[in-house]
Amino acid sequence: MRVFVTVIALVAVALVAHLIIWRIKLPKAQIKALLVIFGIVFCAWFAADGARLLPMVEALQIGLCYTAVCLSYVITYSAIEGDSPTLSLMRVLAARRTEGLSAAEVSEFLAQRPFVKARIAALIASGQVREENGRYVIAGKPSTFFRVILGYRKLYGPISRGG
Amino acid sequence: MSYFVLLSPVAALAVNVVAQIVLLRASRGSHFLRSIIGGFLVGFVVLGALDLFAVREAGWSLDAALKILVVNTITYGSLGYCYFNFVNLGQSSIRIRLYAEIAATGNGISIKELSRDYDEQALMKMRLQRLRESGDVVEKDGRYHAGRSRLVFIGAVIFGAKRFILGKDSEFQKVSP
Repeated sequence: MRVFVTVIALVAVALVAHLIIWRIKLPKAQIKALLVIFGIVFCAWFAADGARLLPMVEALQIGLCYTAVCLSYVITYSAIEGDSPTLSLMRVLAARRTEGLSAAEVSEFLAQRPFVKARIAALIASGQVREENGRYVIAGKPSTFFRVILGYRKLYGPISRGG
Repeated sequence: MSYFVLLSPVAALAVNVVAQIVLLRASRGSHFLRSIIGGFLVGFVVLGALDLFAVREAGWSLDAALKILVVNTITYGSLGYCYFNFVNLGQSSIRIRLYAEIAATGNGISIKELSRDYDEQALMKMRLQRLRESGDVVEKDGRYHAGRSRLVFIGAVIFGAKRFILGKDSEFQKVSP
């Protein structure tokens, strides 16, 4: 139970720190900032007597469980940070449960939320893509993160078009 | 035996990954979500078997065994969730697709080509079609309505968290004062 309680406590401390920092000022690179917070909390616990009082195997178990839970939160946070086209539409439809939306209203809703343009803007902002003479090109060396995802995807076939 | 228990969620994840790929390839790529669920369940069974084996070999008490199972289930569940999202990125992320298409061309993609290939209206029509097929959206007298409540519930959780953490509803909306 010591492992479980320690993981819960570490995650709780990291989340409180995350909320306080976000309330003071929203970081520009939010995911990176989150990873730094989770890392600092774990290192602080490790550097303090917390880890030294435990057998090595328990400290490693805490490290593994904490890392897995934190990564899950970071992944979920990326959904919170951005907008899902599907969830945004479902939210509007739920809010207008009785009257619903006409095809024209759906089009208008989308025109106000240019998802593809927003994703291109995010790629440019993160320095992975740049605009050059009216064309979007890969900026610098291809991202390892994207290469890993796309390489893994080849294990079971090409990416089909569509949203 | 303690290290065996420590590594059992990692071993279970490895089984999850292999099982998911085998299941997806067996269905010729047509049952993505089923392969994810199937792979996760196979990994979970392996996790339970490994932990029970370790507990029996070490002669630990039922109480100790339950504590191990709780922690390892949380670890394995989190690792499985991370794996699902990693695989899903390559499957459905617009950002990844855009990056892949730009990377596949030597001289990049023009804004015109992008607008043609990723027409917002065409994407939404495709999305609407999928939502109608799944019953999440129903069309009645030419108007769209919310059908099943599962995505509405997920949306409520996500947008609630967004309001709580970011102080705004949408990435297209400025932060509220």
